[in-house]
Amino acid sequence: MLSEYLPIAVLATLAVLFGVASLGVSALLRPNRPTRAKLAPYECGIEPARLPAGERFPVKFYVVAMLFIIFDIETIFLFPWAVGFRQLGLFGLAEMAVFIALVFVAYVYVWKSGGLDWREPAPRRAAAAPPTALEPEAREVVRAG
Amino acid sequence: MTGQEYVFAVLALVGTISAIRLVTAKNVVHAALYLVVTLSVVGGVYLLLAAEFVGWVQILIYVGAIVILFLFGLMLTRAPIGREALDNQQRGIAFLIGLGILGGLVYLIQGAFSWSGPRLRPSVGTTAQLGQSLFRQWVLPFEAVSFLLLAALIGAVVLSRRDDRP
Repeated sequence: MLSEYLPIAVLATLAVLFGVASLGVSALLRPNRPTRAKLAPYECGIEPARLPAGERFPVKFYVVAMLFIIFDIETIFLFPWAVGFRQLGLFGLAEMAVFIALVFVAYVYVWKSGGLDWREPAPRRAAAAPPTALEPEAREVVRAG
Repeated sequence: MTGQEYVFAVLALVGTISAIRLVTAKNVVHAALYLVVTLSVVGGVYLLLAAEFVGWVQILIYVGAIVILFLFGLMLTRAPIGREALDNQQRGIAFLIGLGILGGLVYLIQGAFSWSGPRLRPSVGTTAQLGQSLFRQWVLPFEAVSFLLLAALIGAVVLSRRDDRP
């Protein structure tokens, strides 16, 4: 049982060693001349900015994370089914079809109720509200440093 | 000591250290990352106990998903992320509760195994074996799980939706 995991353990050890060795050797060899731009966090070229105080990320992110967990759990149940697929036969297939169909109903519900739409619906009551969401896009791409 | 006991000793050491760092970390994001280590070690212990499927579920669900949810929660709420001191004045109560849980667990485990060590049955914990019993004997609970997932998903959407009614 344990010996089956030996190759995985060896691979994990080698991976950790490779990472540590790369960082260690480069730390020893490279010249160290830090500047402000070099020390800034790298965000694919976009200049990192703090959220203004009192402003929060939209709660939509959290809903997406929860959707991910639910479909993650669905995937977990696919593993034992896939391993014993041949022995379980048609009955197992029907079982899994019912299972996936029920979770798919939830997916359709989320889709239809607008849970996957990213853009906020236009405020109905406050029609005079200016579209403030359009302003930050103008300076989305700026050169770092 | 057998190889299994050596591996367990290493896992227990890493798990204990990261668990202690988890509750003493001043930065709440660091605490979440120590939680990753702790939960991974628990998954490794499941693997050692020949509960293969449970071990991988632990890694996939808890390390892969639940901690991500924690980090999202930290990002979305106004939790103090960074160097702010992280301490609430409930150490006494927390100590008592932790002591109670420790005592209960020691009592339960001692009653179940009476210091003899668990008997490993590697044929039971395999994913194939678990699939057989899940899809042959426990069909109804399995389908009930999908209902539970459905309810959880709809609940999440309904709770997070902005209420437009006055």
